[in-house]
Amino acid sequence: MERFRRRGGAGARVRLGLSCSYFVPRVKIVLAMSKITKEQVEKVAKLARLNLTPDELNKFADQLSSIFEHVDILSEVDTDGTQPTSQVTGLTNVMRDDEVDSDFCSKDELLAVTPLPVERGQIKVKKVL
Amino acid sequence: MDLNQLTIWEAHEGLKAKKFSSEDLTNACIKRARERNPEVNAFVEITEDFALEQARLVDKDGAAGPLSGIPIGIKDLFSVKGYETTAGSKILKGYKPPFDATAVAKLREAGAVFLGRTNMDEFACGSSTEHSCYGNTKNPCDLERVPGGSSGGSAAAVADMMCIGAIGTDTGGSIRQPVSLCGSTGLKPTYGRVSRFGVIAMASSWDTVGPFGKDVKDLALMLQVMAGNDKRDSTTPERPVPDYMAALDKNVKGLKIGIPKEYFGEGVEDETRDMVMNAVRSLEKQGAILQEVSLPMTKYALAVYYVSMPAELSANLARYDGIRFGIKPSEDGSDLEEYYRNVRGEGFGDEIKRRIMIGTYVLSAGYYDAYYKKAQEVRTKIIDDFNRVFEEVDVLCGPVSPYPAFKFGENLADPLKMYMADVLTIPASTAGLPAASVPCGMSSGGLPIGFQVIGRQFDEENVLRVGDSVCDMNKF
Repeated sequence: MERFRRRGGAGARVRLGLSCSYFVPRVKIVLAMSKITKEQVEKVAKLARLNLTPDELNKFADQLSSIFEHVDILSEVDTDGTQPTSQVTGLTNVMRDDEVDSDFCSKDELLAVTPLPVERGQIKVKKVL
Repeated sequence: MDLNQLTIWEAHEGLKAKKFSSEDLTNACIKRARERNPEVNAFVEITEDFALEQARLVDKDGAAGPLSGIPIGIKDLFSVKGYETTAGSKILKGYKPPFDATAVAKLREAGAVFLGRTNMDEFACGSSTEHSCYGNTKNPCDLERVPGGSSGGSAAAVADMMCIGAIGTDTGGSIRQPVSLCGSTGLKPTYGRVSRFGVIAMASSWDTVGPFGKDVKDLALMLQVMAGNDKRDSTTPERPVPDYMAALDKNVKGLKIGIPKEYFGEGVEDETRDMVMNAVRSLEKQGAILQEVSLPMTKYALAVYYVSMPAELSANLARYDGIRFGIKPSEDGSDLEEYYRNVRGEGFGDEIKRRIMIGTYVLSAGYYDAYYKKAQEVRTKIIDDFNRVFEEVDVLCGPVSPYPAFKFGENLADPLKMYMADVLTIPASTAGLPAASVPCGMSSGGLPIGFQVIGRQFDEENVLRVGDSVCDMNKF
């Protein structure tokens, strides 16, 4: 999950993926944005590719607000100089050869479970553009 | 005693001595399940023919290992080749995985009999099994109450003697909390101890796979079969698997037991606190050394979980797009994006949508540092807390759930209140620690109360040993 790596210093050099790296000034983050509006819910639902009904939009705005109100207690904790945890047992990158592991099932078996039509070994989907 | 009431160990002895066959044992479980399931709804499918076929095979070849010929329930998120697996979600209706999860393959190899798939909160999200597309599972101790969740089906099926053992998953308490509410036993192993390959993912830095049983011996036997490195799950370390049954031979004499004062504070019901303390005192009588400890970061664990888990969940559930598996939407829409929105809008239930929304929000531009990164930093602080106390004590003991089983609908309208049900199970998950839940008594209302034992990473042995001692003195 952890895509960003802190490089220390007064600011932090942040690495995004493998390709680009840029400088972000270190700012004290204040968690005081717990009220979620219906517009924000709409925007997030679009990002998450979720169709929501008008009822769901209203309900989630309230419920998410109360959940984030609770989450805001995290701002009480002084985490200056604390490294984020993304893996708990201390394992580092585990590498393997770049070979397809097809012992457990075949391509045809995988294609057989799609709800969509299969043509020439590929799943046919709606147009993208 | 009916055969379905036996523990794994007792059933194994009987099979070995040819007092009964695996077919008899399996039929006894099927009979009980057919009687009780219409009411309890612990199983969403009973795979009778498949189970009997496996049982007859064991009867022909002989019961080689302790799990040979033992009927178990499988939570509906483990891939079982050729059998429907849906994670309690409409979006996966009809999906039959073309391969076995590693844990399932190991159980199959050990000769276990697959009785059917057990009910669960959709995608393992919930503390009451009220969020399943197959309807609620009921608590066998009181049918007006929830069995806990998300593995409510596995916990209820074992407690109600419909199967001998079961498997499930625990992300923030989904094994420990339901077994506590139903009166069975369960173990959440160390993160990475059991492979998750082929298990439908919820939150990848938290998810674990573990056993359900009627006693702690059964947990040890099932863990023995499932634990170990798997090249298909890179979070499983190449670390030897100890002999868990041997660990149960030793008693708790001289073992240092920490009692975290935060686990007995506000919100924990008096009766729960008293029952757990009774069990603690009897451990002391058996020679364990008690020490009060403090884990001051405990109160932040729930908030850390409700940022980190939905973030990971929303990323994991991005794969449900109605293309490679699962259902098609009732209306395709004009382009691919509309197809995605339709299938996800129709296929996911209320709680999943809510958590995807939380997760997408905390990962979206502008909020990543404030929520996601902050939560990961506080997670480090919680882990530091545990590391500090584990320098002084061998295990930690406390309640599993702050209260016994609650009524249907009681926490449904207020998600935050529902999330609080896991306030004492989430901390161990935060640090990837092994933790067991065993029954330690009954409330005045006749509801089971669970006892939690938390150990150091990869020290399932001490967790099982302490759990076994508590279980032995509270047989009921």
